[in-house]
This record gives sequence, C-alpha cells and structure tokens, in this order.
Amino acid sequence: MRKEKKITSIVVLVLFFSLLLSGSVLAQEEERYGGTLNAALQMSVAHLDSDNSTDSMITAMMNHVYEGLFEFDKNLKVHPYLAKSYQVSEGGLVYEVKLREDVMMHNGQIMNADDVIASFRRWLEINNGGKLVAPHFDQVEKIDQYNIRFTFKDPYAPFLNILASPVSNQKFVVRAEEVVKEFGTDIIERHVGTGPYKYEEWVPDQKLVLTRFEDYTPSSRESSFFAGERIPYLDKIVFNFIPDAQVRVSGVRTGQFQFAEEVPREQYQIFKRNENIKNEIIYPDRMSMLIFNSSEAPFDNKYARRAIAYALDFEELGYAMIGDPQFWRLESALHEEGNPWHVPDAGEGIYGVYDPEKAKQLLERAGYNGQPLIILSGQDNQMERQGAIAIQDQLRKIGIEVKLQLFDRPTVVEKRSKPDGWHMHLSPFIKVVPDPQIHQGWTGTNKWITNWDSKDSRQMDQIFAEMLREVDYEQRYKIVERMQAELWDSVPYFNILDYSRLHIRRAELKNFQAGWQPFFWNTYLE
Amino acid sequence: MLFLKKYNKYKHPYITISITILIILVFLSLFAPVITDYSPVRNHPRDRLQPPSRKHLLGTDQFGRDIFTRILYGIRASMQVGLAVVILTMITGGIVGITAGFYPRIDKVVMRFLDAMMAFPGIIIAISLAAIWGAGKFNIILALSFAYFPRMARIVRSSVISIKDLDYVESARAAGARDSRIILKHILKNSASPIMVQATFNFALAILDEAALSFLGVGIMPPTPSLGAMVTDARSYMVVAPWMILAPGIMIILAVLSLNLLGDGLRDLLDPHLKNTIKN
Amino acid sequence: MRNYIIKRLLLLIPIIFIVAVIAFFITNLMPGDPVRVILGNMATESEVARLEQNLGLDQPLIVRFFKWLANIMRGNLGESFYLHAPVSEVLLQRIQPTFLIAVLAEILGITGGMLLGILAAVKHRNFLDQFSITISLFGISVPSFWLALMLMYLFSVRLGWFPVSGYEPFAEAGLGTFRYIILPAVTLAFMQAGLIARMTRSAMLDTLKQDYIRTAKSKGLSTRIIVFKHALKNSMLPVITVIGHNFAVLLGGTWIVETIFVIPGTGFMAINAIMRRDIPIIQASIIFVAVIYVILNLFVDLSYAFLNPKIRYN
Repeated sequence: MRKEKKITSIVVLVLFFSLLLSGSVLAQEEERYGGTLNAALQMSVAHLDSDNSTDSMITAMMNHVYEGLFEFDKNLKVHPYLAKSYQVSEGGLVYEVKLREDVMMHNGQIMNADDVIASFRRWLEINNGGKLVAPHFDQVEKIDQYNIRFTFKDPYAPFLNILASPVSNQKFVVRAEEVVKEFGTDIIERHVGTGPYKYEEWVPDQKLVLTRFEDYTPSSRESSFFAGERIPYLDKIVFNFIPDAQVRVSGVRTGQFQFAEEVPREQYQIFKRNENIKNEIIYPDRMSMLIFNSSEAPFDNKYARRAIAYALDFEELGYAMIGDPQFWRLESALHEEGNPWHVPDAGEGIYGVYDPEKAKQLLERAGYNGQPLIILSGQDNQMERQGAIAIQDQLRKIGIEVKLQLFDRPTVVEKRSKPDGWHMHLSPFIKVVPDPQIHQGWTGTNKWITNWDSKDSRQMDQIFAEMLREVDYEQRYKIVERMQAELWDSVPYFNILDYSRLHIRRAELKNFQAGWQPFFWNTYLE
Repeated sequence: MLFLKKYNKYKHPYITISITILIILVFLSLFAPVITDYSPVRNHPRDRLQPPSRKHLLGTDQFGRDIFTRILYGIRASMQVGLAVVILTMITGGIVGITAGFYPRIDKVVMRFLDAMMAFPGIIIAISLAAIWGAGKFNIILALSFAYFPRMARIVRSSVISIKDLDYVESARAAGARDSRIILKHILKNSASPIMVQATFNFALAILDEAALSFLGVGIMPPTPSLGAMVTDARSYMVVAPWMILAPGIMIILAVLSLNLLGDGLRDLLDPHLKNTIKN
Repeated sequence: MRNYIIKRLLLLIPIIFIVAVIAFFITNLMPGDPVRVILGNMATESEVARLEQNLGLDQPLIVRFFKWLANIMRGNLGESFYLHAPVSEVLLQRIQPTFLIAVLAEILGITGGMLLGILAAVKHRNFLDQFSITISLFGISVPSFWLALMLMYLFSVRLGWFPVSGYEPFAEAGLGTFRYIILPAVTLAFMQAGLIARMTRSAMLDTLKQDYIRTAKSKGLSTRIIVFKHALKNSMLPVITVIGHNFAVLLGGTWIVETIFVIPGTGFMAINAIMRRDIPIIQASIIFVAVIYVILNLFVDLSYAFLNPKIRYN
C-alpha cells in the first residue's frame, strides 16, 4: 500500500516534471520563432523562374518557395520530399511516384498530381535539366489524384539525381498548375509553390523578400540539408544583392546583415577574433577548370593540351588564385572525396606533376609554332582573374608566350562561344555534382565547353551513352572510372584544384548549416 | 623660347615645385628597371600580402609582387597614357579647331557636334568606348583622346577667331599668303599659350581617368601595372593589407597634383587673361 | 529676351539628336551578347535565336536604328532586357538617390568652394591664400574612387558613423536617407569645391582690382560690405559657368560613387547595365545625363543674359 503510494507519487512526479520539461521545450521552441533575416548575396538575378535560366542563384533563393519531388541530404543522397515514396520497375523504364497528400500550396489548395504534371511538362520542355532527360523520356501519366507514372523510352539511370540536381537550375520543382497555365513557357512572375516561405516582393538588383507560409506542412522525415523536415522559424527572409565584398562584410559587422555570401578569404582570421561573427567554409563547393579550345591550333592536338598540365605548378597556382591553403586542395577527380562517384587515382602521372621539360617536348610533338596563346577569362571573378594572371606568369617563365584577355562577363561569354580567337579559358565550376551524367552537358563532341570534335570526343560520347543506361551502381562506377581516365588522356579541360568559398554569419543566427546553396529553414535568430 | 624667357624672369614658384616633382616621377618611371630588382609582373604567391619591410619597401600584393616596383611601372603607364592623350588631343583638337575657326561656313556644323560631344561627361564616353574596343593601353588612349578633344578644339577655335581678324593677319592675307602659311606662321604661334595650358590640364585629367577606367576593369590589361587597377585589387584586401591601397592612391594624387600646379603656373606666366576662359 | 530663349531652345534639338545617335551606335557596337548573358552558358543556338527575335536584335542595325529613333520621338525609351519593365519607369525609380546625392554634393561644393575662394582672394598672398589654394588643388587631383574608398573605410568601417552601403528612400526613412548619401556626396563635393574655389578666387581677385571697388574702399566702406555686397555679386558669372559646365562631371562621378557605395541610383543602374549589356538602359542613361547637362547649361546661359544684359542680343 505504502509502496504503491510511493510508486504513484513517483509516477506523478515524473509526469509532472516531464510535463514541465516538455512545456519549457515547447516554450523554447516557441521562442525560436520570429525575426527578419537579412542576407547579403553577391549576384543579382535576371528573374526568378528557374526553368528559364541556368543561373543557379535562382534555385538557391527560390528553394525557400518551391520544393522538389526529391531532395538531397547532406551526403548527396536523394530522398523523396514532396513525393511520399517511389518505385522503379521494368529495368529502369518506369518510375511510379506516390505524392504526399498533405502538402498545402501558397494558393490555399492541396498539391496534387495535376500540379506536378503541369510543372514537369514545362520542366521537360524548357529547363536545361529537363532537356537532358527529354530525348529518352516517353510520357508522364496521372494514375490518380496522388499517383504519377513516368515512363522512359530507354533506361535512364540518373533520373532522380537530375530531378534534385543543384547544378545550373536543373532541379525540378513543383509549381501550382494555375501558374504554369498562366505563363506557359514565358518567364513566371507570380509564384505559387509549396515551400516554407512565400514570395512577397522583388525589387530587381536590390532585394527579394520572402515571408513565412503559415499553413506550411513540413515533411516528417529527418532533417538533413535539403531533405527532411523544414521549419520556418524566421518571419521574413530578405535577400539583398550587394556586389561589393567589402560592403557585405561591413554589413555583417554592423549587424545590418545576419548572413553574407562569398567574403574575402583573407579576412578569415579577423572574423575568427570577432565573437559576433562566425566563419562558414563551404565544402566541397567549387573547382577551377582550365578549358581548352580544342578546335584551334595548337590545342586541336591532345599532346599540346597535356603539355599545359605538365607546365603548371598547381600548388603555386593555389596560392595565387585562392590564397590560404585551408580554402583549396588539389583534386584530380571531378567528384570530391566522399562522393559516391569519386575516383581516387584519376589523372595519376599527369595531375600535379610539374615537369616543364616534358611540357616543351609535348608541345613540340604537337607541332606548336610558338604563337602567343590567348587566355580568355572574366574580370569579375577573383579566381578567374587571379588564376589567369598566375597561369600566364608560369607559362612565360618557361618560355611560352601568353596573352591575357580579361573582359567583363558579356564579352567573355560571347567570345568563348566562338570557335576561334581564344585558346584557354579559366572558369569556376560547381563541385557538387550529384550524378556523373551531368558532366555530359559540357563534355563530348561539340558540347558548349570546348569546341571538341575528334575521335576522342566521340569515344567520350560513347562512354556517356553507356553510363546513361547502366542502372547498377558498381557497373556504373566502372564506367565513371573510364570516363575519368579518358578525360586525363585527351584533356579537353582539366580541374586544377578544388576551392571553397567563405561565407559569414552573425553569431545570433543559430542552427545554420553550410550547404552548397545557403538555406534558412530550421535556422532561427536568438 | 618665350616660355623659358618668361620663366627666368619671374621664377614662378608653382612651376618650380611642380617641375621638380614631375622630373622625379619621370626619372622614377624611366629608370624603374635600375631602381628596383623586382619584376612588376613575376609572381611569388608564397610571399603574398607581406606588410612593408626592408625587403619590400611598400609590401607585396596578392601575387607576392613588390608594390613599390609596381608603382614605379604603374606611374610609367600613367605617364605614357597621359602623354599620348595630350599629343593626340593637340593634333585632333588643333585640326578641328583651326578648321572651324578659319572657315566660318563649316563652323556651325562642327560646333553643334562639339556641343553634343561635350554634353557627355568625358568618363562616360571613355567607359563606353573602352568597352567597345576592349581594354588595353592603346584603346584607352584613343577613348580618352576622343573624350577630350572637343574642349581642345573649342579653345583653339576661339583663339583662332580672336587672332584671325587682327591687323597683321589681315595684312599677311592681303599680301597673298596662303591659308596654310597663315595658320602655321601666325595663328599657331599665337594660340600656343592656351593650347599648352589646356594640354597640361588634359595630361592631369588623363592620368585621373585612366586610373578610373582601370579601376572599373576597362583600362589597362593585367598584368601590366596600372595605378587604378592596383586600387581595385587592394579593395578586396583593404582590411588585411591596407598598404596596398594607400601607395597607388598617393602616387596618382602626386602626379595629378603636380600637373595641375604646372597648369596653374603656366597660365599665370603665359597669359594672365586666360584665367576666365579656360575652365578646369 | 523671349526670342533669345526660343533660339536657344531650338538649338537644343540638333544637339540632343546627335547625342541620341552617338548613344545608339556606341551601345549597339559594344561587344558582348546580351542574349547569351540572359540565357547563360548552356543555352542552345535555337534558344539564342528565339530570344534575339523577341528582343528584336535579329534585325539589321540600320533598321533597328530607325525603329528606335521613331520610338524615342514618341518618348518611348524601350524596355529593359533584364528588369522586364519600361526603361522610363526604371529610370524614374532610380532618380531619387542620384538627385539627392548630386544636389547635396553641389550644395556642399558651392558652399565650401566659395568660402575657400573668397578667403583666398581677400587674404591674397597670405597663409590663408596658400592654404585654400592647396586644398582646392587637392580637390581636383584626388581620384574620386580612391577618396570614396578611404571615406568608407574611415567613417563606416572604422568609426561606424554611417552605414557602409545601401539606401532607403526618403518616403521610408525620412531624414535617415541622408545617412546613406553623405559620404557619396562628400566624395563628389570635394572635386566640385576645388573647381569652384579656384574660379571664385580668380574672379574675386579680378573684381577687387576694379575701379569701383577702389572707390568704395576709399569711401571708407568696411571690407565685409565690399566683399559680400559688391565684389561677390560681380564675380558670380564665371562661378555660375563653372558650376554649370561641371555638373556633367558631377553626374559622371555618380556612376562611380554609386557603384562603390551600392546606391540604387541611375549611375549604379548604368554601370550594371553596361556590365550585362542591357542596351536600352545604357542608351537611356547616356541620354539622361546629356539632356540634364544641356538644359542646365541653357539655364546658365540664360542667367548670364539676365545678369548681364549686354550679351542678350548677341
């Protein structure tokens, strides 16, 4: 009797305390809500329609407004997001996707198969990710209100990865059917999505304002980067476009901004000493690509292209184009360490081997006549500008005459699209490539990057064609190894090194995760 | 020469000071290879962003290049651009101005055109032209000359008009002298003063605008040192390497200041009445 | 007087016409393809062709020129390639900060410049004269982009007196707007003050030598009255001219200063437009600056005619 009483009292006590605790947790949870986040981004965008552009800044911001059927987690593993589950059958030809039935859209309606199908058809027609898929795609059908079937003409291994791809706005996002109907393939100016934030205001070249979507229904999966539960603690997110790096930094110092993208890496130590500012180094982030014009002598010959890899001291380039070694690392593979498609020994014997003598021999073998080589690059990107200057210096040191042509972006884009007038082009590439197939977009016969049209390029096309059909990971990995080997043999372009950008945030911005694109759900202001 | 004679007589202090500074600057830029052992373009990335020391008087930049060296070569580029612009504007401005002043029939058309040209701020014309022709020293020179020549042409024109009807020109004409001879002998000689003064100010302006163009990324092509581009570079490192931004700025000021001072001195010396007609 | 004004107004037409022609050809001859910038690296040739057609860039230059000219005559400046809005609308949105900066810079420049100039003239060949000459020489010799960075570093980054960048419209921030425009305006005022001080000094010196001033002096009038009542009034003409002629320089300066301080004015808009070849915006920006310059100088000339009736019928 007494014992029972004791037990009961203990139970009551435990219950009481747990209630108290949960109450305080709830209260704490409650306290997280509120506040306006001011983020300083570097580049403005032309519009906010991701399907109509390859500028990935659009997705980076609109990730808060639009969501995908599938999203990537921290380790680049793809998870259903607006989809509840999916099934692949018939050797990779058919994907059946079940949608979540509780997803509220910003227009107050529940998202259904019609919204997804309308958005998907638009994506397939005009998005550059969709255009990769389209030639192999057969049809999309509505099974019922919440079930959809995607059918391919031939097996298409990278489908889910491309649907969620962060590269060049390839990601497929779901928009309300009414909006797709209203704008067709024109640029969308009214935004109705499913995300934790709603579109509020856009002032071109100045700011994008998003406000919390009160009826948001988070996914029940565990949160990890873009996948899983998203909780909108912040009332409002304002993306400010501030082209000058020092201005972004000073804004964070004074508290005008709580987050700034891409700040000078040299100031890392200074930020570290400031208790109000936290450094965020992004990994894997970017790679610096040296791209050859394979249709113009001497680089129409692969020995000349290989020669340049031997002629450059990559480590010294690292210091010149990036600086502090904690922000860059030598990496010969297109996928970083830890990525399922990483090939550890890619480029062995050529990558990072500094051998000017060999370089000269190879150039001679390629019949190089000593003409000045033209490096074409942009003024506006620090890596490009400084890298181009450093490469010129290194090549001159061993007696190769190099002419620099540093222009503003439009001129670079126009000149690079021409088959002659340039030999090398240095360009930053996004390292976060979730599927090796994505490289096909610029690698192969006459893809946009290289004016490459030869026996080698056609062999590369062949490799990508095999990769496309192979559904088995082990087998597909072997094809990726062959792709990497072929790349280092014919060298239409090569990766000099990987580097990281430095973002900073105010210390009061909590629970921030440094993803490849900044996102602000689950973060809160203290 | 008229100028030397006058100078010996008055010993104008502006001229003495400015010429001294200019001679030093010209000396520094001409003998840059002797004064410094460093190359202005060779990279030493591992010595990047070093503060001033005995080894590097003004520190190093983000490529580990010696800033003192780059400033010497930078002022050299500024001087080259300035000098070339002055010569080009004197030739084009002179030709247009004399033609307009001498032949009233085409004067109206030319003047309307010059008025329109002067409605653009020089820097805007230069930015647009540099963007069209592409960056590079030669293109900058053309762009700046194009921007400055209207003012020079107007000055020449007004001095031609004021001289044209004077007695000795009239009498030369009556004596049957050809136009070209009149222009060469009388008019050029007598409009030399305002041209020289304006040329000096143009020199200063050209250095200033070259720096601005290079600052905006449409100027001299890297890695050739340019003081303006050095300021652009320094901007990203302002907090960690403030020495990078001070030195090129001060160098620009020194050159431009001494040229402006020289212009003032020349104006006082050669023609006190010019004060109200030449604007700068 | 009326005839004179009408004559001057008519003269504006050919000037603005030439300006427009130059603006059109400069912008259309620029290398760099706006279409490819809008579409990005991965664009296919068919997309490029489609957008070129949409923007009307597929037609021959001369056809485009006449179409553009016809539109301009009707006051239609076209539509921005990027901002998807009529150029005139965009221009109107951006005019406030530029206007405020230019006016504040001009006020600061005139006040500072005239004070320096008067001081120098009154205390001719004195220490103060040398001081004011030196300051005004610095004013016209310091590159504005460098000065802007220095001011920003000192007053915003180090001392934190002003925001580093940005802008809030007058309607939202009221007088708080001035916190954003003080540094840009001071940057530009520095050069204006230099120019105005130099002109004021020499004009005042000339006036002070005139007979009637000597007479006034001999009559025993105080220096203050002589300077401010008589000499200053008669030295105004050349000073006004300098202000008018250099307003274009001031507007050109806003292009650089607005870019450095990230102020969404017409200059920032113009530089942005150049960097991405938003041709209609570049054209409008150039014409805008030129028209303001021309009109302002018309006022200068008219005030000349007003203050000095002798030249009216000339």
